[in-house]
Amino acid sequence: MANANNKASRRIGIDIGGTFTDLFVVEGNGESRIYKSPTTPHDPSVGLLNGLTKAADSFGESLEDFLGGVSTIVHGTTIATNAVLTRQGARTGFVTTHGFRDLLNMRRGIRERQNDSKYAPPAPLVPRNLIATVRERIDVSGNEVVALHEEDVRAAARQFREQGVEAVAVSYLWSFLDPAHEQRTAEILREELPGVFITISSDVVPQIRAYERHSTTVLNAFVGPKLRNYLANIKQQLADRGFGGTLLIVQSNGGVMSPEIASDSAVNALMSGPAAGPGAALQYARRHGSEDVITVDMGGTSFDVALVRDGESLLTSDSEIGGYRVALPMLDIHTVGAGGGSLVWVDSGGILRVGPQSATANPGPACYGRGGENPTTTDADLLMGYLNPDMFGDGAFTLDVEAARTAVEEKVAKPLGLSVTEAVEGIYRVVNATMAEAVSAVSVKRGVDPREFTMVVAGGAGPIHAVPIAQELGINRIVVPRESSVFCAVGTLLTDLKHLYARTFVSDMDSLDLDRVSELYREMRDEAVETLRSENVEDDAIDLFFSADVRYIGQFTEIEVPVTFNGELTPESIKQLVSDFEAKHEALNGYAMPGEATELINVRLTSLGRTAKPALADHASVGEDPSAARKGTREAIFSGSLIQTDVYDGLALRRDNRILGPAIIEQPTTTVVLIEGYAMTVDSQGHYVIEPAN
Amino acid sequence: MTQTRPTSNPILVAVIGSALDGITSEMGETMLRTSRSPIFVEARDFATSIFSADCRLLAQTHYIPVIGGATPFALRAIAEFFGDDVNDGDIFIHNDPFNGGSHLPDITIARPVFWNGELVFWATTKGHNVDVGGGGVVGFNPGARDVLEEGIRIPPVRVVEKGELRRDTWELLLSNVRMRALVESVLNCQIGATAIGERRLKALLEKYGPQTISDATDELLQASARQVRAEIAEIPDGEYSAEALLDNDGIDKDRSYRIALTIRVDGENLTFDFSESDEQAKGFINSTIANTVSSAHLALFGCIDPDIRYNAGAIEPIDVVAPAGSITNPHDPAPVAACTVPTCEAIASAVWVALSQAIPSRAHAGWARWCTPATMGMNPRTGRHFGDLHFLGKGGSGATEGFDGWDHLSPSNTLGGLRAPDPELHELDTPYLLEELEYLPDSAGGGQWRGGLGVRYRWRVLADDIACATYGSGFMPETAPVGLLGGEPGIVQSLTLTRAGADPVEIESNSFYTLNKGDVFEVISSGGGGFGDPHLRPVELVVRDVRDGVVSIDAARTVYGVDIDPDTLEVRQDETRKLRAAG
Repeated sequence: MANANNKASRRIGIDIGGTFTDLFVVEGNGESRIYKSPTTPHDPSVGLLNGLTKAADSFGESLEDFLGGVSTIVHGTTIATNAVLTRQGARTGFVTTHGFRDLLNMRRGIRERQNDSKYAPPAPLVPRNLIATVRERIDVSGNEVVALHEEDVRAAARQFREQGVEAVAVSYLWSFLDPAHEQRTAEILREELPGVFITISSDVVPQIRAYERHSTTVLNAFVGPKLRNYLANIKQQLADRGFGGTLLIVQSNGGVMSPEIASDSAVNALMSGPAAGPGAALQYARRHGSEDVITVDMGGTSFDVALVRDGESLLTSDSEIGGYRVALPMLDIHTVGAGGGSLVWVDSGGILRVGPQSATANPGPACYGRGGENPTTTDADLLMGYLNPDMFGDGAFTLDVEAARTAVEEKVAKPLGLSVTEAVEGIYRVVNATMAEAVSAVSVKRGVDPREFTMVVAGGAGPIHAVPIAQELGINRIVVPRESSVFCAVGTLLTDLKHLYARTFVSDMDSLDLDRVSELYREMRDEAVETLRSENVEDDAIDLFFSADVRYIGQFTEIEVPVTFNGELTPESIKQLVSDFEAKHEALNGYAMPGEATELINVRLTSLGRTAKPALADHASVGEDPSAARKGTREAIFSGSLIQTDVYDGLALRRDNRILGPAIIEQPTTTVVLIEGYAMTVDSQGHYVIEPAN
Repeated sequence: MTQTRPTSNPILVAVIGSALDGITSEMGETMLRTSRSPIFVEARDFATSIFSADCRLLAQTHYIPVIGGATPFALRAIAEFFGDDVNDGDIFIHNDPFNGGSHLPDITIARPVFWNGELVFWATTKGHNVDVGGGGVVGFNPGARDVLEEGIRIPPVRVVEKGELRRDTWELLLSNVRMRALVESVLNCQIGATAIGERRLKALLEKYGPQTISDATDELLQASARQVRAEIAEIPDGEYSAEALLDNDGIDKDRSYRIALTIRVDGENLTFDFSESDEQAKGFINSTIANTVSSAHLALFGCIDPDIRYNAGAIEPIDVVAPAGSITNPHDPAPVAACTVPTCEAIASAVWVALSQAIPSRAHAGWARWCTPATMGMNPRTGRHFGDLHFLGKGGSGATEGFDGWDHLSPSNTLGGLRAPDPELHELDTPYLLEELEYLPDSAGGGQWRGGLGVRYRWRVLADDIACATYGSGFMPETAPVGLLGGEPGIVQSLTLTRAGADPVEIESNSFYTLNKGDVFEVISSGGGGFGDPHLRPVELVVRDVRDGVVSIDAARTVYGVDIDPDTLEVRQDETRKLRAAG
């Protein structure tokens, strides 16, 4: 029965992943529960409702009563991502400046794997016959060089109608300096093509760099109709079943937005799936006094790394998806091809390699016993004794140890002249070194030293490898959340409404037109406040952060620096901006050039609409002794020898329990490997904190 | 698969190998993040490397392979010149074409890395500097008769001694260039990247010690050598000869030059023999030995297993013969500025044509040769000097068996690593208004797999007195990208200059021009060559290309034997069958 106090104060975080739909339900009193339900790819709302029904059942309520008690549902979705990766988006037309029909598909003329002459470029999002050009031109100073030829727009519309186009993106050269041509083009297209999704670059990403702007705008059109229909469907389904609260969608930048906003700026949902992770990681780390976090999420085929620095998730405008660039800031999540399914192989020179190829779901790793003959990371983990063959994937099936052994013996041990034990330990080390190298590369690229960071670990396979990876990197604190496997669902409940705005305004800092720049900031501010109000945010819950992209004149990479703005920029605020830029340049690149002329490239605004966060309840301490959770022992390899290792039931561990490595902690979907020299303590909410033992 | 068991710990070998790869990649990231030169940041025209104390290449990140393959020659020149006189904290600079260099703009910065007082590694960066002075435009001087007219020649020089910048030497260098501030920042960025390399190498030494690392790198080099030997062993033994031409040398416009190559395959060893090539030219198309070797290597490595690491082991089974006094190994002080571009491209083309006789399924059809000019001058709108290599005119790459060439991917000396600049940033930097940059229909050679497309690239000049040097090749049928195994060649390239108020005039390559306000410059770059008989190309792909407007209805018929109704764009089946049956 529902507790009356919990009425309409329940919150649900939902993460629809490739395999499972994860639900994280928090009651008004801070108690939380986790549910998993298989994802239904043909219509993800089915799996979502199944999950909600499962949750309602466990509360002993009808779905309608259960949803009636929910104040907020926050939802992360991979629907946009998958539309791009599988090229199953809208049939999209693209309108661009006459004479420049191919900038989108040229992708700036590079082949990522230079020495490989045997692969094709990514399939175009818009084939050339759906790209129309229009005579018009704005120049570098924002002047109109060629007027908009409206007849060309109408001709394009006619052509698109015949071609059955469902969405149209418009992106002209220099449109961010004067959006009039794009705006008029959109008007005409709406008139000529009723019901078609129309999007223009000066709305989506009014910034310099043509290919990047074209690509981002086209992606918005490509995924827009699909996301819009999906969200309308979900809203309706939830409303039909008694949900009267607020529905929010996770954005690529780690914030959330309303479904109405998401429908127009669908490109901001491209990373909606994993984007809640880093924010969640910060909350876990913060409980232990750290604002600097590295998250590692190791799933079946990938290993994702993201950074949080000084309490802020790092964003990048450098990401790409399906071979196409996204110029809007997204969470800087790096994917390295070394998940549990990564193939382990010996190359023709006799060197052991891990990935980048991985075993497909079928037949999968050799130990799945479905005929896979090539060893994978998971096979090595099993032979190390770390995985419980009877408890894999929530006990869904039993792992085949002999098949794993044969694969490692034939494909790795024999070619290298090693015993199977030496080979599996070697694989474990190489996997860890490869991943440590990836984490190091990500952090050095961002100019940070990983040793000062707390590592927060997610994904089923992450905690098996986390401790040696951290050791390799010199990281001294690792947090494994109890909900490691539904990490992103938890994260969705911890995020704020967030919108990012930018305008390109290129000018030498010395001759900056303060009035014009102030006007741009005011324009963005008004838009931001209006948007948040439309999402029902009270004014006192709105925070605005102004910033500017600055570089030394002649550089090609800008640095974003905070700006103080109270309605008018002053010469003092610019002086401060330049000195802050130099300090940041020094920190990031190891040097600054004080006195060298600087220039402004973009002005930016980040708006936050603070949401109420659930307060999670603390558990009672039961003391250090973990013996109540001890399940027994099993043989596992630590430091080169097979030893009888203590195995603990994670679900039975309680606050303040402390375990010394070597040990293995098992939960239905997660295994934690604690190597010698490390100790693990259970914190007040049941999360595992691992540190060097002394 | 035959394997020899490595003698040391195979796990450590793998771990150390991936660490060294990671370090060169971080050095590259540092360059991309801090440089002020569009040639580094936008086009990525550089390579970062790590060498052993005895100058064996251990690991490399090269966006532009022709620079990567030449780097070992530069480092050896530095190490030989200074011998034991190398200290912790020193930094060396070099570009001398006749002592290990390629052409003058490619400047090497080398930093020795010491551990417990012993030299253990070298960390190097080599990249195309935006300005090396001389009489050329951004380093390209089609009128030069010797290397001294091409810019400042830097023998192995110590610029930093035990951590102290040698200001006199530094001044000497910077006093010989035009864009002093830009060149200084570029050199600082190169030096900074080697500092990142040193820091990471020392962390690796701390962890494993020099002996373990040295054992592991020995294994890595041997492994790469084994891989390349296995690849060569798959090529049937024999001699395979081919030629490729260069349009002219800039001095004598009426004669073309010939790269003549014989590849000799003998078991696990392969020799590139350039003995039959023409004598050295008067003008700037001569290729230094470092560049000749690097060009042959990149063509070969672009055909074999792409996972093989490029290091000292990988190149061990490969020999290069290039007689002194020939265009592939000229005498000091021949001009050489164009060697990294047209001459490298001609060498690569000859390698692929020769290999197509032995291993056709691996060879590339011809790539578009480089054809856009270098320009420089003052931009009155910004009040700043600019230098521009017009990378926006990239042509198409050649097809290979099973795959169409890639559009807008050339030149072959970069194997697709050269990133085209952003058109808007380009207009921000230069006094140019772009009028067109678009795929050029029918520019690529037809084939069962067609070449990648070339482009039409046109701009209007908005300022006076801009120096322009044209350079490159592919402006005559003999140098158009070749087709392989029945594939057609790409088109002949052209440059057209329309002076304000005058008629368009086709202009010559390898020449100087001055551009003024109102002039319009148009580049036609070719597509790549095709691979295999065009009549075997699936009809639906021909139809797709016609609908996309990259193959004309006429070419569909004459080249591919596919008859398409111009009104409906449907295939006329009977006529197509007839055309294809006729061959």
